[in-house]
Amino acid sequence: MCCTPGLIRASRLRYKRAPAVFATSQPNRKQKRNKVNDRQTQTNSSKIALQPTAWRRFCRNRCAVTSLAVLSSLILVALITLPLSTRWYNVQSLDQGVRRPPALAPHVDKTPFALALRQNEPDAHADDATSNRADFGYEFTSWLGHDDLGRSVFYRIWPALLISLGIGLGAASMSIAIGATWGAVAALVGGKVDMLMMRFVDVLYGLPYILSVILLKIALTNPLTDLLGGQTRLAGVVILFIAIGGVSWLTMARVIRGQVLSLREEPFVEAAQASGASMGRILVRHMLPNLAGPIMVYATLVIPQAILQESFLSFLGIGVPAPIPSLGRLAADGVQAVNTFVGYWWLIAFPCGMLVLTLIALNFTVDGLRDAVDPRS
Amino acid sequence: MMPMLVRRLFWGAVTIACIYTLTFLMVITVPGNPFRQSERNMPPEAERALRVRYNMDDNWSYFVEFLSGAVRGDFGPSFTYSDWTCNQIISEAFPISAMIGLLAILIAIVIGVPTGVIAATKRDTAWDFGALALVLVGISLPTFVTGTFLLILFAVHLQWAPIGGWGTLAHLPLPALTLSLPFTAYIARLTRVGMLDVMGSDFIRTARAKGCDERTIVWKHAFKIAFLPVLSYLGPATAQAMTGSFVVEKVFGVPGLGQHFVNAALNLDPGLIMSTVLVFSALLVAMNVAVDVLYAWADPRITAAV
Amino acid sequence: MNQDRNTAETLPAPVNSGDSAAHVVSRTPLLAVRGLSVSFPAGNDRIRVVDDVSLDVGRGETVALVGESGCGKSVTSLSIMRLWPKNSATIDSGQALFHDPPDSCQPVDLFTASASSLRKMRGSRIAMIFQEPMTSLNPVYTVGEQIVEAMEVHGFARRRKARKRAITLLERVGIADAQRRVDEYPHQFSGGMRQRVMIAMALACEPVMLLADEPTTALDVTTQAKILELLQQLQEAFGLGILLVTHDLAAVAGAADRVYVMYAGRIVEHGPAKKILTDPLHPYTQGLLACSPGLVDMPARLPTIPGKLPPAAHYPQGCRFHPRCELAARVVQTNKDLPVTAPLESAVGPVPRRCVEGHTASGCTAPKLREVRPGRWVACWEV
Repeated sequence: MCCTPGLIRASRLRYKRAPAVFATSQPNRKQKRNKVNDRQTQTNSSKIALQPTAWRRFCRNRCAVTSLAVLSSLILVALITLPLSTRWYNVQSLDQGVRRPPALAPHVDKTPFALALRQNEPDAHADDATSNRADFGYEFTSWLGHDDLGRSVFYRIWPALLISLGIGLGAASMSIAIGATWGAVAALVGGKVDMLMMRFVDVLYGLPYILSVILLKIALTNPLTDLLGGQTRLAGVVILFIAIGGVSWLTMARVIRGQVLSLREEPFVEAAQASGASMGRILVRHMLPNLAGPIMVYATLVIPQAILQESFLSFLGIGVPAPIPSLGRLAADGVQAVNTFVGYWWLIAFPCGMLVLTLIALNFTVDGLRDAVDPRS
Repeated sequence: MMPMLVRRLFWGAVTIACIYTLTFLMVITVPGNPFRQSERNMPPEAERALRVRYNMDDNWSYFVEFLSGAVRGDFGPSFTYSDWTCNQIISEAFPISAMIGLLAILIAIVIGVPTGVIAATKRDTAWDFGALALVLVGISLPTFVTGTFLLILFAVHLQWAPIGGWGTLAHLPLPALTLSLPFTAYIARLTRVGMLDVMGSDFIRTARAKGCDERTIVWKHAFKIAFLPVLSYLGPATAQAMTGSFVVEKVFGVPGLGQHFVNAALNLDPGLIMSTVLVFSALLVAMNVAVDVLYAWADPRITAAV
Repeated sequence: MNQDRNTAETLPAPVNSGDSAAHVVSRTPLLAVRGLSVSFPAGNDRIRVVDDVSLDVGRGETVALVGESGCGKSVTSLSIMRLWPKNSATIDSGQALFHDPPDSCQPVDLFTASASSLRKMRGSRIAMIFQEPMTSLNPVYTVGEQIVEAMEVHGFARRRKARKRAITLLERVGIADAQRRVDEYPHQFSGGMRQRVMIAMALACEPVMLLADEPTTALDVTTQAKILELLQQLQEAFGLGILLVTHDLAAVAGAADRVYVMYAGRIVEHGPAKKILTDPLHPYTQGLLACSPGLVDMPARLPTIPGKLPPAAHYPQGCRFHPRCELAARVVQTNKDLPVTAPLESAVGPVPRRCVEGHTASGCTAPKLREVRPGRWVACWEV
């Protein structure tokens, strides 16, 4: 193979600039791959020197990306329909619509619905323009059937998704707030305090999960309702995620303690210590960026778990307070309806389908995230 | 070995004592509990009589009283079920839950472990993907959904099993299968991760260089180490499975122990709460000790350390 | 997936393939590696880490493969046994002719042999010991069990007989109180002792060939010497052919008969060990020797080779050593007429153009190994 000097210079230039090129332009890399020869293997593969970021690793995981897409589109639909759902989710029609199967056209006459609506919202009655606006969305009410109170499953399932995700997020933040702090403090203080703090975690592990959630919920109900100014429904939701989060921080505490302990041994932390950095600075500047990954992964792990726990609590009848829908509540109600009378498949299929879809999508996403942040596991 | 066992048992007893104290503290601080006056709607004399009957004149005397009873194996009366003692309730329900739970764990091991091994050895193939899907579905499906589904399929449509209740062997498989699904999923995942970790290690390469065939490498050289994390998971998992699940019991109408955890907590029945917690934590400690012993037997490095 | 395969196929044919084996000196051949090229996947591409390597190991001969960390020498030795996990390295081309298969007189190409026939040869005919004695033994089985397994796998010996032989082997490799220690676990042995156990295990089925992949790197200096000495003794006793992979040229001084020096995935020099140690010809070998203390008089300041070994993805074109080659720089200064280029990445300044571009007339970019003196083979344009 013989080369002219000009070509060589060009190739050398490319060699020098290669990393930048590969970091930014995809088509360029593809194009080059086709004309591999001895010299270009050097430039061609230079991206091995670039550490692929966690995000790029995540994007390579097709399952996780699909799940994330599914999840976001579900949330998007829920958000778009939110104005309609808040209007319709609790409208009952006990005379005509009880447990009616799904249909494209509304089962229920407009009149009782409109009446019910007006009862619900006394200020929206007067003129026709308002009532027309109030009736908007009426066409979709029967798409997924009606439940035992004649409420539209379609308009209950979307806010339920948001409530469930909200409970999941709340529980996740709780477990970050308590668990990560607990673990980090135990590891940083060390010694006897560390031992005592982790013994405490061990003891809490020894408590039956469901029992502690229920006791926590009972204990928190009154003070929290007072705190939120007597808003029982809101308090009911908040208590739920606090109770779930309050028992699911244990794993987080153990993981973060382990991470901090191993980070403390890392050369770069020792170097920072040796150069006289304060403990706070080391924690914020050197450890926190490295802890962010595991914290995020374990926090997202809590979200599907919390949603699942909420569905169990709903099944026990101590989930979200009455008219508020959550995926767990809808699924549990549906399961109970099916248990007694076989039939009413829409009451179990749609809520359970949505619950399972959400949980699977969440779990796939978390799995992808974990692989991306910590490829070893 | 023996000193280790003694030490573990001692620490187990300490842990149980801590759990007991913590539960007691929770019970007396939760509002609406029988220890708080003026929160129950009953005449003062009646309440006083009740408190005398259940030995609850004073928090700490009850604490000591219950503890000394528990050490003797007597958990005293139940508050909610006034005709029953806690001992009767537990001895009635626990064997049922234990049977279902043990079968569930057995199913979980039998399905989960090979699934994990296959997923790891056939990494990035359809097998691996199928196992991952099984794992995620197992973690994602609430047990009341799977339970209801199994019930409708096997009991209602195929009529292979009774619809619910308890009494014959035929009542056993469906609840056990339902209960096993999340455990199966978790065991499969742990096994897969453990296998992937071990299969990359140097001694696996040594075994290959020795001329071992792939089956020996996987099952003799890798599996024994990859199973260790599963083993430590099995301790708490078995304790959990054996003490029953409220959801499974409700779906299948099984009179197990799980419902008592929930009912005790919902009714704030101090005797039943503390006796169920003690049963659970004692079982947990026992299982963990058993796992430690097995672990030390399986891993010579640990034997040397203890 | 598909793309991966495409790229693998479009990889360049090894330079100089065909006559690359001309330099190989063959005695009683045992293992003959010809034109071995190995590549690793890197994202959607592949990186070639071993490029057209040929070497020979004769019966009862110790051959050393020397080079810096990361130059591809371990890859070469692992490739001979095909000990790569699935989906990692692939052997792009080449042959490894092994002249002592268990059931026929025909040499077997280890690269194309079926998995099962290769498995039958692993451990029984060709054994291997590794760099990491601490992690190369299975921690949950006793050393005895592991040595016995090596014999039982190949039907060499069974149960009590195998155990007896395991004890004998442990004694042979210098483990005191072998009778008792045979039932101990690897964590109860020190690093050097574990390497001895590895050697005992490797020799369990009386192989004819031993691949030793940096067997002494993880050990301290005195243990290193002892292990090398042991290997030498065993070689004489068993008539082993040993391929000793090491980064420490000084270590092989006494142990090896012949030396291959490897740089950046290619063999750059090859010849009798004594000759290479006393009179290295390739500028890289010269640099390597000058850097190792102890062999020559200790200078006040240890010389170094300028620059550093580039990662496999960035191997320069032409002679891969040219950016660090002081000989090339000297040649430029003494011979003003020579066409010169100044590579950007060079650590030594301008070098002769042929070091970068190769011989335009013959059409080869990289220097080939050629016999510059009897038995001395060097891949350099300037020697």
